[in-house]
Amino acid sequence: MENLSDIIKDYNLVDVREAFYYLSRYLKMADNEDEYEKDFFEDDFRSIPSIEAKELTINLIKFIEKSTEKKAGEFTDTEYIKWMDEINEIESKLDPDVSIETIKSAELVIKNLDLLE
Amino acid sequence: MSLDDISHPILYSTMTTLAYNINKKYYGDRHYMWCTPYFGSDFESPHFTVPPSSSPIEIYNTLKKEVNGVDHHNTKIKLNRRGIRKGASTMLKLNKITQEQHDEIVYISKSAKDMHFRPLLCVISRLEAVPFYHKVNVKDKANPLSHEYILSDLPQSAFDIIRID
Repeated sequence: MENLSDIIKDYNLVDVREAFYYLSRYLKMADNEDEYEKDFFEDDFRSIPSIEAKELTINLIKFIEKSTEKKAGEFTDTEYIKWMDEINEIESKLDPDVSIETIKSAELVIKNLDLLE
Repeated sequence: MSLDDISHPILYSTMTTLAYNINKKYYGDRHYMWCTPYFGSDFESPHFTVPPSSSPIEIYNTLKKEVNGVDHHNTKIKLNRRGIRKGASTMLKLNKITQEQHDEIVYISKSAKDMHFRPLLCVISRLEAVPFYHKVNVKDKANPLSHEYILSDLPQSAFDIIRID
């Protein structure tokens, strides 16, 4: 049975990350779609999503709504959370491993954040 | 309606402490945020014209509940982690950060603790924000009074941050 991972497999990391971002916005805004009709692709004007990212976003929306047999605006809280968790699970594992130096530097930034708390 | 044309003197936005600190450290203390002239409380009011999901106080309270462990799903925090990664991807494309900085931000977004997503309320001077805004398009049949704006590269000097406890 097809899943979200199958749909993203032919796209590059940047497009997949963007598509998951816009998909998340679509799901988040679905409740108020009729009243506000915001364009979920509208965001930072310096970064317009690529054609591929838009296409992938639409494909992911179609897949989710087809597999649940309802529009996102009709999702229960449980369904909404389930999809958001699934998106997060896949999206957070997209990146290749980073260098030890990057990890050390990032850990230092996090440590400094702790000091600010 | 343009940000020039509204009469409200103040705009509001909610961001997380982590996003704020990443903006400070990696993006030259320039901040990207969605904002509205409505702090927000009464969704039934005809004068309150942004969706609940865009209400600064709603977003603030949701994040606060997740950080405090009242809401265990942490949907908003996870969304913010993804937003930070998407922001890093955008900044890399714009050549505003290096690949190493991008990778560092991505690592931080994944490793930061929930408490680093404590909400901050941004109180922005509308006049200071005008040069940095981008109007959010709302289709004709939607509420014509709906006001939401995207601010990009907003300097820290244009706003204050507040914690509501």
